[in-house]
Amino acid sequence: MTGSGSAASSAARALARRGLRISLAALLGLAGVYVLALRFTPVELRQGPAQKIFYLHVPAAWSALIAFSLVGVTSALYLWLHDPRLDRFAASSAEVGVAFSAVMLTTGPIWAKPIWGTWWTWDARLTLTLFLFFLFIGYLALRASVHDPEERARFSAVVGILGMLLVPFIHLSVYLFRTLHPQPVVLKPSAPSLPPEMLRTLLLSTAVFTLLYVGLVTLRYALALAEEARDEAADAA
Amino acid sequence: MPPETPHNVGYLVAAYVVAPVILAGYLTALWGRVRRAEGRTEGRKDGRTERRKDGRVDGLEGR
Repeated sequence: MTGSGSAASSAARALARRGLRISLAALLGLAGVYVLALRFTPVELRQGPAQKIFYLHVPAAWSALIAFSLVGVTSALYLWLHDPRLDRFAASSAEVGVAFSAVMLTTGPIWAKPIWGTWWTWDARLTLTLFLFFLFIGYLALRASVHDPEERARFSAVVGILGMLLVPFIHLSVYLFRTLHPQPVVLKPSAPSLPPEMLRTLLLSTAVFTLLYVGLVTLRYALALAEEARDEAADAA
Repeated sequence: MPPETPHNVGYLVAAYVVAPVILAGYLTALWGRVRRAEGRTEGRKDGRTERRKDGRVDGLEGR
């Protein structure tokens, strides 16, 4: 192993431990959110206890859309600057975004069944979100199938930018199209339309999910570094 | 709760179980991948190799 490979390997190890610590702290915070949501936040009278799924579904959606937006931003910067750190970050953020999307796309139907009477409906918000999820599954498949690092970074950057373009449509879809999906209660031009106890729980959960995003991306970035050190060691051998 | 409030706590429980299972499962898988990548790098550094189930030898790819 070369000196730079050894340094990269050590940096990856330190970063991985930091990412793991942040992620575990966030999961502990999620336990706190559960206590706050289930014990200290009132039940919404018309929707019943199932409304509290909102405290997981909305922060998961927030994290997923932030993750995919950052993939687009760092991909555009990569095409401009050709800095491999930007490509590593985009790949990490995409994978973590897919994990948060999986939470969003499972908790959403579990909420929809008792409230709408159906698990799924092909309205604009839900359909665009599912397309975004599949697009980033394709992004990860593309990365796995191209072996030249520069080609992989360039091709996937284009897909990452296209994915980011869907994000504002998803946010605005409840205004642009007729949809069953509720309109935003916090990210909207007027003041948040939630009672203070519910808003407090939602904001805390969003902070915890954001921290988990940071931890998971740090860990995934460390994995990319460790894999590069491994490949460099193979080339040197 | 007033009598007109729906009783749908089962859906709440399902969502509150599924979400951490996905997130903690992903974290565990990611940590496993990091450990394996570190192990293979260290294996090459130390000259150690490991035979996998498919008969290939970790630490020798690319040689």
